Amino acid sequence: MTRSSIFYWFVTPAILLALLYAAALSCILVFSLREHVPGSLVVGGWTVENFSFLLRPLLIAVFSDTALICLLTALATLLVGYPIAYALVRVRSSFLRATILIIAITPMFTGEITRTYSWLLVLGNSGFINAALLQLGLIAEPVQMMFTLPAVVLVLVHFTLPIMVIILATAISQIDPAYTKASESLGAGPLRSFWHVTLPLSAPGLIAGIITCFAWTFSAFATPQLIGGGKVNMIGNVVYQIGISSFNFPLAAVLSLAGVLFTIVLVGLMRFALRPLDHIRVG
Amino acid sequence: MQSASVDIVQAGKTFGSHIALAPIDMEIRQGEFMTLLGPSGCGKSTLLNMIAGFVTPSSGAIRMAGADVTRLPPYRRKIGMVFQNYALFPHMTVADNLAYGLKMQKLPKAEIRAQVARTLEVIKLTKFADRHPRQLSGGQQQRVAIGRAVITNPQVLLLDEPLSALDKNLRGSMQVEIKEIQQRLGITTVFVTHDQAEALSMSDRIAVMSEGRVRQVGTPDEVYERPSDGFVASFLGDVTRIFGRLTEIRGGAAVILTEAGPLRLPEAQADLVLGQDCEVFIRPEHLTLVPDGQPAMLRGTVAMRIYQGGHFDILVDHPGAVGGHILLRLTDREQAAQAEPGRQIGLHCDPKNLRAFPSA
Repeated sequence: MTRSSIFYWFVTPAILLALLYAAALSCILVFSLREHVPGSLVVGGWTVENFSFLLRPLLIAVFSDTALICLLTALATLLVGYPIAYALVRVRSSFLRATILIIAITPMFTGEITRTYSWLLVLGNSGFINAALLQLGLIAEPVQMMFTLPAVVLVLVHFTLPIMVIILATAISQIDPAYTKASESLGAGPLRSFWHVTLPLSAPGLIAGIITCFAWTFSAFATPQLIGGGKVNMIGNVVYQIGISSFNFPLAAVLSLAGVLFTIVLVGLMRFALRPLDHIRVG
Repeated sequence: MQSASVDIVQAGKTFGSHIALAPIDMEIRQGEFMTLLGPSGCGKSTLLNMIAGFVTPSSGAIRMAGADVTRLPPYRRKIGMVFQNYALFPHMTVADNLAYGLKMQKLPKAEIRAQVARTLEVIKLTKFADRHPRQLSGGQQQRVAIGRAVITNPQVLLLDEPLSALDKNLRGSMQVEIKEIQQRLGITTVFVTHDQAEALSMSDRIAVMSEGRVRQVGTPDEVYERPSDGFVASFLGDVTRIFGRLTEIRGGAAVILTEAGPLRLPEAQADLVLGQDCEVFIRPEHLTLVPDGQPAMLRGTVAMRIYQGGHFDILVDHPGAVGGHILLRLTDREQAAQAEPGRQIGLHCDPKNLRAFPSA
């Protein structure tokens, strides 16, 4: 078999999937351009009216909240993920490396609902943390953690951590340890070497990690639904409410499209803003 | 800062049961250019990294200018180091790379700028100050690496196979440049290489190493002319080895019986006991052609004549030689013309240039 024919075999599934997604997206696009008939799933005639809905302050607030949650999640994941990724690459013992890898990657293989429900057991009013603090007498009443923004961010961090660790570890493993040696030979201790050499050289990974986690969290649904409990809403939750509770499919479609576009634009902007770091190519 | 002497006192390194470096003693004098020469895995890099502080010795001590630095991390040792692939910081310009060590010393900005400018002049890269390492040629990167290592005025300059990434022509001119900078600064230098030609041309002294041990320490001509053992003799330069056995010691001369008959050499050049199996070492440039019809030390048929530009390498078939050939080097074209393939020739070597070592 020639090289190019193998290539086509590999690409075919991707093309089929892409077509499927394109079809689904076109359906959403079609829905977004139809009139809503209250109380019915059947849609009316063609209109662009639905898009004006996006300019309502409520929707703008949802968008900016979502972006804020995504940004906080991406940054927090970065802070937690970097040391793990660094250890994953630089720890000498292969047993320790395997352990770190398994712990870091496992969340990926747990269903989203399962994972989110287990956080209820930890964060709930009678959950693990509150029970422990009450038992120790450190608090008199349960601390309200559920249905708060920090809780949503915390669970989302757990969700995005594996992908961040994988991206960062890949970037860090590209950094020749000789750079650190060179830095130390020039009088910089481990901390200064890290700050001046390793960290800047991991910039490509930092950028890729932040953008990926941001874009990934943007479509989060189950986590804000369960942990936010209607008090912390992201775009996915609002789409759900409008679509399933009010049966307003055209409006839900408009919101979904806006979400996709918003992500693309934000990721594009972020990419552009981080352009100055692009000349760092390691190896 | 004054350049320093380095004393290695019974320093060794073991990894589990593997001995990377058997405990050794070595004294590197102030301002000296010392080369650690040996094949890969001989322990030379371990020793260099020990002097740098990247490897902690399992035993013994390392002193710089008399002060014990065995437990000091690299960043407190006042060293300058040039790495095999230079390890120039890719995210910094040439000027920033040079400034790095001075910044770590927290020197005032103006002084850093002045020193960087001066160093750029020394390494002839003033015009390239704002480039990134990726935009430089191999030789230019090499010069930046050296500049970065010496700008802080280190006590010791450590070079870890710095020329191995360069092509052959460039290597020659970089050898000269490194040597020039080293002499101008008068800096104590430890240079690691597996290239014997590099070692011979650059060093004040060479430590020949193999299998975690130092075989011989001496000036280039000492290790070349008076190797302490068969390993040193065959690692430096080309050599022909002829199997034999010490059969007799008489009147200060050792007689070694070989396939080619008895060879006589001064007793002092044969580190053997009577009856011991040995190899006689002959350098190709020490062999001369004997005119036809005159007695010769060795005889054989020319197998191949290889033109090398400045000289000819002649391979002469001989059953007693390791590899089956004697190597002879002729610079004279007329003589070389006589050594035609297929022709019987006689060879002579002054006995004072013969060495014999026990068979490995």
